[in-house]
Amino acid sequence: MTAPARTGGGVPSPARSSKPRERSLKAVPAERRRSAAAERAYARRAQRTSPKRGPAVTRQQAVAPKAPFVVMVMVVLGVGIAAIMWLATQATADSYRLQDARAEETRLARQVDQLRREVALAESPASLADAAAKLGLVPAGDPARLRQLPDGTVEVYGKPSAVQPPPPPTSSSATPPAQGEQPAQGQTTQPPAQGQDEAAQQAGGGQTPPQG
Amino acid sequence: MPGPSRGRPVRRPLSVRGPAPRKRRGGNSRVRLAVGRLLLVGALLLAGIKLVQVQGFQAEALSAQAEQQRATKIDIAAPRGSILDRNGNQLAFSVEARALYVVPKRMRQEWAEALEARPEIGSFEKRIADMAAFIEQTLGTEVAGQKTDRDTMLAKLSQDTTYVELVDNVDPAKAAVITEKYHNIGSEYRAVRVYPNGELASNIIGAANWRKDAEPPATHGLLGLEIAQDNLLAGSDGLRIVDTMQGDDVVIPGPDRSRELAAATPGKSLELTLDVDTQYAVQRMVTDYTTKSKARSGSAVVMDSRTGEILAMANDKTFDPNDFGNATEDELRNIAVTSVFEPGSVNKLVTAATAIEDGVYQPDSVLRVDGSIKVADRRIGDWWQHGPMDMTFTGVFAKSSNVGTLMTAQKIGQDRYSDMLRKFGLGKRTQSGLPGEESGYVPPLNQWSGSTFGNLPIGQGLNMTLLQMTGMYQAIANDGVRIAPRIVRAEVSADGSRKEVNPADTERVVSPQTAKTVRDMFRAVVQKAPGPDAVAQSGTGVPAALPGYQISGKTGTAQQIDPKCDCYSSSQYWITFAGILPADNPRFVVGIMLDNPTEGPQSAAPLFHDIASYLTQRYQLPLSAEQSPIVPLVV
Repeated sequence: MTAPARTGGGVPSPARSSKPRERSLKAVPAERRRSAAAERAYARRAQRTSPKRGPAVTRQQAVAPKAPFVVMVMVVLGVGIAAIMWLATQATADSYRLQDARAEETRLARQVDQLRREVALAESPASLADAAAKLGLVPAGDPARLRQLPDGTVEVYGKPSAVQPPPPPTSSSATPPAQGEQPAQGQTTQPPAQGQDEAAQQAGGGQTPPQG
Repeated sequence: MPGPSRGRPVRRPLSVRGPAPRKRRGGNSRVRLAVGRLLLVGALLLAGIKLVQVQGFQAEALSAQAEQQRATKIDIAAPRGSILDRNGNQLAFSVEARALYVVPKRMRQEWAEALEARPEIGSFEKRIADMAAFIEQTLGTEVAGQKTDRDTMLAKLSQDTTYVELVDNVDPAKAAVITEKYHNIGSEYRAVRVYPNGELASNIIGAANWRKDAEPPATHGLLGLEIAQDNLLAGSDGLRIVDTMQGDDVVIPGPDRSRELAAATPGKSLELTLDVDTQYAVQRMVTDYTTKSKARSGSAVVMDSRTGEILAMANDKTFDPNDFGNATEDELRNIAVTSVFEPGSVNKLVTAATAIEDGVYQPDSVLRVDGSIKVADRRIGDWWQHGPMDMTFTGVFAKSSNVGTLMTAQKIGQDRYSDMLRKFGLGKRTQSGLPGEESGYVPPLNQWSGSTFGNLPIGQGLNMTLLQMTGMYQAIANDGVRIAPRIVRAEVSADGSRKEVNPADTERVVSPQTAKTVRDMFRAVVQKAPGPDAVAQSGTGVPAALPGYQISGKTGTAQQIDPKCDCYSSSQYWITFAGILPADNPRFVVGIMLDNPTEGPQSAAPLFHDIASYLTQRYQLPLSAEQSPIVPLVV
């Protein structure tokens, strides 16, 4: 494959070239019989001319806009640095605030935990019963049940049983009531008992409760 | 061609000074290039070999070693779920706490070094005395049953050991105050399980405690539902990898030094079917009644008749879950499901329901009942002496006649009867979700002896748990459809999503019409007839009646087995009662069992009355539209 390329390349080259340097080369007989000195001279000329001309022209053109560009870059850099510093400060300040907020959150979460625990303990039936006993309340006895008939009369089912006075076995709740509280206890237990008696009397006198 | 080209293509020299030095370089560079190339190739080869060795053969070992040096895996404990009642009241939940510890040896050593540099800081003894005083000042003299007074703390601080735990279950805020003031005191995460209701329902809920030795340390169940549902409550642990100093547990600080590989999945919460208020009231009544009747034990179950949900399950003995270590075996048991008994006459329900379903008798059919009946080689009598008498079919059960029941059972036949026992859920676990549940025992049909069929219909020779017994009546209350009882109503995820737990088993036992007829028949058990015939026409469970409501139920008395003679005892009984409230529009089923009560009325009917009375108030049940009619029992 290499041989045809070489022959192909050799034939059209003389016809195409139009640049002066090429033309001068073409003047040399086909087999390039240039001496070493001529070779060096060409090289020297090439070194002298070609690299210098281009840059010299462009440098002259770039001189004018250099100063504003530098100023602009400096301004951009300055603004950038200032912005970065400001942001960094803000970030640090925020991280402190975040830390504070986290600490506050932990504290509040613990408080919620604590309160949840207290509420759960306070609303458990056992502690409610204790609290009620301390107020002098006793569990209700067997109630009677009333039914109002369409004609307005009331039927009584069952016989209400009187509530026992506060039981003595709960020593902790029995001892605390001081002298001041005793009459209050009497008041809370007696009137219901009377009321129940009345209800029972009414039941006996008015409607006869169907048994069973 | 000038110059030594040696067959290579001639390059055009770029510089005029080119050719002169080139001549000198020629021979040298060739050697140098060759040597350099050789060295480089050699180095590359070596590097390549090492690369293959490190990346290929030693890769695993080395990366493991590196990982070991740097990364430490830490399991993240998932927060444990709560246990709630049906209204969202908390029965068990976890709160965060801290354990305070010191490393006395190191503390002493460090103090000695500091003392050398600055003698004015005072002696080590004074330091730990200050610490002890500050702890007492902050925590008080006792935390969760542990002493934290000055002397106890000082004794612990002055020990010459490597690690001492000062106190457990400290409020995190207080722990932070202490550790901030004294950096030698370390604090460690703990979760404390709180049981706000104490002993209430503790046989069901159980108890859980903190496991230091578990990986990762976490709260795990020990008893009851806490252990039965531990996997669900505990959730699954997450995994975190932290970079640590070599040979140390110190985590290197930095944003990328701690990587959470998997987040912990918080445990699910269990919503139980229990209603804590009902449970409290029933618990109190059962305990009082058991004490009053001097029974060995007593328990009661309240079920929602339509759903099979257990609203209350109380045993006379319970324990304090915060102090389960001191609980006795009896206190830990949930006898309503872990102990079996012979139900006695309560089991006559099976005979009654089957006879009505099969059309053997109608409620007002009249049976001629003798004083006793012979089944195989045994003669079985009634609980009261009587000659031949005419009883209605209703009367047979209202008066709890063994003879009448056995006469009916024989008409039903063994096969059908055995099948019905199974349908009523006897002899197999209810799958209620309660741990330690017993299956009870019903002899298989092929092992029945001649007299077996004289025993089973009257509730002897087979045994069941209280929950199974209550379940039988639930089927009748729920128009003949038995729904397996259950204790867990729903599983609630941490994000609030609920997953309802469906009943394990639903089975039609009898037709709705039969169920209604049987309910109506069993109202006569609590019937109190007026007039001269009162004794003859009244049922066996009159005290269970609740004026204003129709009550349907059955009393039971079963002889216990005397271990001395391996025969039925004539002095020790299981007293049972099962009832439906209200019978005309069933809402609740209550089962009661008393183990050998020795005082007061030998009946659980009064306790049923109390529980039923409470339930009507608690759930505001409307009065029955009509009162139970008085029906003839004996004609």
